[in-house]
Amino acid sequence: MKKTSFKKLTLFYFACLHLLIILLVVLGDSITGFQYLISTQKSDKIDSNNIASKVRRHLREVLTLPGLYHYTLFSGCDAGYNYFAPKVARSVSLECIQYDSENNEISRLYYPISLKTHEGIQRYSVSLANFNNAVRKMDSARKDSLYHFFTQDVGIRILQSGRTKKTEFAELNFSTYVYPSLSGFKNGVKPTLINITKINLRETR
Amino acid sequence: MRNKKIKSVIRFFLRDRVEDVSFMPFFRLSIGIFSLIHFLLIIPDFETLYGKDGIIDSAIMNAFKPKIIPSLAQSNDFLFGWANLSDKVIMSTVAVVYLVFCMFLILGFLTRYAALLLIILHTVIFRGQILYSYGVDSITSIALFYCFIFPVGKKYSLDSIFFKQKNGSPSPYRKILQLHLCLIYVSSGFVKLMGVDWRSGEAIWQATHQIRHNIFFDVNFDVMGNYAFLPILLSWSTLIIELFYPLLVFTSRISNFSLLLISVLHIGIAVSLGLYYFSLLMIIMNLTAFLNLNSKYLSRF
Repeated sequence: MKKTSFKKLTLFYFACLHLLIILLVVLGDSITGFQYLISTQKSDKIDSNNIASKVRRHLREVLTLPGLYHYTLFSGCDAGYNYFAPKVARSVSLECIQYDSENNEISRLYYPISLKTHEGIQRYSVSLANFNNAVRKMDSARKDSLYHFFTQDVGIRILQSGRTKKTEFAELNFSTYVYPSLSGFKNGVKPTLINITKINLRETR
Repeated sequence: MRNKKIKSVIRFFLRDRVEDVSFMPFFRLSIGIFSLIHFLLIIPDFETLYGKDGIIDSAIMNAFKPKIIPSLAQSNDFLFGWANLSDKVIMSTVAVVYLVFCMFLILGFLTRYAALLLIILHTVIFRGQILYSYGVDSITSIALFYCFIFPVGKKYSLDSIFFKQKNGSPSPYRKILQLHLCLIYVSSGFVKLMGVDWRSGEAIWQATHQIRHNIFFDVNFDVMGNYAFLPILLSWSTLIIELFYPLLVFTSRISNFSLLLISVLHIGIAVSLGLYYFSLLMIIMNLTAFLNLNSKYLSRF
């Protein structure tokens, strides 16, 4: 029988290790999904939730070990693949409304008009969603100041990109967009924007 | 007994298959061309997004990125700080270097070094500014890593002309990519299955009604509200394709049909969610991993 060469065997063991690391990463995602399932069911399954949390914590500890962590970052394996799962996150918007000196609305901007490409606008929208997802997990004191700082900073840049000559002041709204559920839509429920942060920019000039 | 099993697994992994024959050049070219085009399309907004005076303040951006990855601004300060160059010049230099290495990858010139430098640049640009990052960046990162690890420059490349190299079997390498894709789809399907919204069709309804700016195809998905079976059907189709992905792509009799089905799923994602580049990259990855690349077979089409 033909003997497998050392090079091929090395490749095989590398593949096993590499795929095992990916498996550990996706296992973390699966546990998150499992915990979500438990949290949405009313039955008493606290213990299984605790076990899942422990497993997830241990997995995280393993995956952040020096060397392994660097390898996952370099190879791109650290990214989870639970896109739009287990729940589709609500989209967010940062609205910049411009007013003239008589309080009349001039325009509404939803992204910096200095962005020229579809991909640029896509990435800007992604940044709002990523920011919101990350900040939502923080404690409330830090959360509020971060929302305020982010809205003001990004909002001013949106305003700078599309300010009109008549603009006297502007209002910035960082909001979550809530679209009605399927049943709500049938009953005539309309989409709403739930405001998270509102800032009035009096001095825009 | 166990020894026999291990041997059969090794044999499965290392088996040479005629359909893998052009895998390496196909993978190198498709990832190189995709990276080049994708980056070219970002260039008009490159400075606005990733420059020092980008839309999002660097203090906010740096708070969310992994500490170990330097941001583009930090790297530029480190590398060009002494030269006192303007941000515009530095950003243009970075863009040109990225594009040159994409060309090197496409031509198969110093392929491994080009892939390595592209990984570093890609990580610093896209992972260093993590808030702008989404699925397409993770998958590009993975693909570039495989271009670095796999001997993708040994066939139809300048490397093969300048440096005479022995061609090995591409099959084991392709198997790694195939198994990686299986893990991606099955895990994604499993997490979706855990969500009540995916089982009821609500997830498709909500996903298609998110805020989108400047999309190519403005489709009104409200019609799904009148035919409640539609989101349920689409939701379960997605779940079934993702959960049974390995079965679909490894069953040779239906693999072409499965590839078509998966491509349709990604075209659907592109049209409904506006994720054009992500969808295109996923279609490329699937075709690279599972399409029969035997030239005799391809010449029949």
